[in-house]
Amino acid sequence: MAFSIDAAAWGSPWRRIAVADKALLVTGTLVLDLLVPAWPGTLLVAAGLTIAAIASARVDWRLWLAALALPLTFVLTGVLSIALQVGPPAPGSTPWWSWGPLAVTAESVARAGTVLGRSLAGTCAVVLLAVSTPMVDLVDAGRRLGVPAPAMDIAALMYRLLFVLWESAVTIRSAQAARLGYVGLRRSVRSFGSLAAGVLVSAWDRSRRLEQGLSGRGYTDDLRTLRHVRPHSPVFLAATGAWLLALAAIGTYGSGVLG
Amino acid sequence: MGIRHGRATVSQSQELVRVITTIGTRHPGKDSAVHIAEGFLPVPHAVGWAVAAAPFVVHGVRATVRQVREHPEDRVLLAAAGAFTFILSALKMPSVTGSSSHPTGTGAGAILFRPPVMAFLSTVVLLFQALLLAHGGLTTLGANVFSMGIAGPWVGYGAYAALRRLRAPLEVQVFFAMALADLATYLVTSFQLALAYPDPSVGAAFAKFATIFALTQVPLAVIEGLVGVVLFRVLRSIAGPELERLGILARPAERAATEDGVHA
Repeated sequence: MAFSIDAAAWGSPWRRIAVADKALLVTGTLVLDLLVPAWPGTLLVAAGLTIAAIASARVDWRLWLAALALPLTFVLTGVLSIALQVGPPAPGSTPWWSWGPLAVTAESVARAGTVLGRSLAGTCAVVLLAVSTPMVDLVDAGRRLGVPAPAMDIAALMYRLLFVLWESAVTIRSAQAARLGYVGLRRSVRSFGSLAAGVLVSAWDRSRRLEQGLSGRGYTDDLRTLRHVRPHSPVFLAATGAWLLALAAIGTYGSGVLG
Repeated sequence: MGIRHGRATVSQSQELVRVITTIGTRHPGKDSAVHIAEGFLPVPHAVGWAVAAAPFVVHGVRATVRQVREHPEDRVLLAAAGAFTFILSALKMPSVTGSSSHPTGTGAGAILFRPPVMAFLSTVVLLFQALLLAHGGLTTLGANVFSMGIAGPWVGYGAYAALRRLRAPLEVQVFFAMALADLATYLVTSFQLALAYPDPSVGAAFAKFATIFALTQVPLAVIEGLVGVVLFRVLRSIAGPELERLGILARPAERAATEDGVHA
């Protein structure tokens, strides 16, 4: 699971679409997700993006579901906390359950439901961008947007170092586990601390060797690679425009605000 | 013999798969990272926290760019530091509550690389987490950068600097820097949620969120502090020169000088 989103992004048919086009779709959907009334707006977002992801971007549905489930713990904890009210309930609210200063009211549950819907729909949008756009494309887009080159260069180098470091972390961890390094809390803490130190030292060592190798090849300003020029896709842009308009209209009208 | 050999290979590869899946993010239901998920903050809050975080991040980017201009060789080192922060936050840490949890790792980063650089590195790390691991989000990026990339490192660095001035042992400095950075991150996150959902008041809502997250975050902070102690002990024994270069360990000459000072 660790980097399967990244692997999917490299093989995605949507990789051929310009980053700006995809960014328009994702940011537009995210903004509308937060602005239109949550019901039925967020269900529409989640359903629409799921269909787009599986039918058009050809995302494996198991990966799609797994990625959507990743923020689940935070979302559930947060949503349940929002449903729970502390202190005297506001006048005019309908209490469903109360115990001492704690209460669950119809209003607090409705608020929790709104957040749950928005969070599910928002996660769909972010994951859609993630599974269709490799990090290097985003870094390149950031460079063209005017983020200082050295900063983007560090981000690009960071991305490339992730996989090497992850592999050493996995190797160290399995060696430790094989020596019963994770039996009991005390030993686990010690193993984890030395795992962190091992990864940090190997990061230092690799970065030093990489730096020497690169400076020998004349690495002075930044580490540019050839960029695939991807023209805007009129079809994709038209579909995005239609989707955003439909979302705004149905999302607002469907909840009865306009109706 | 051949069969036994084959069987051993199978069980080894199964073991490898098991280990990889346990340390990967395979058990999403059990993770307890405190990044605010996508869609959690209303638009004014999302914008407000992004605006609040922006000056720190811009300052961090400037500090990083300046450092890279002066020392071009630091570019790769900083990238390695960012990658290390990401890997640390993606690994599962031992936990007492049974659920596994991820360290924030920003306390160690703040000691090693200073808070302004961490503001920049954490922004990239959070962006990577949102897009590679689906942790956190894009509209909530500003709020998460504020809690994990600004509040955490500054509180951790403050604790480290104060204890260093008091001449506390390195272990004590590191423990409090790591644990307090973690606690600050979680308290700021609780405050951000309370501001967004003040029900019935911000104070009561803060108490509610802080209490609920405390169940996982307080033990986590203590464990992260302990892990930090082990981390710096190991670093001291295997990476002394690097720590001296970063100014965390006194150089032998300075150490002799301070000892002379103490004797005199």
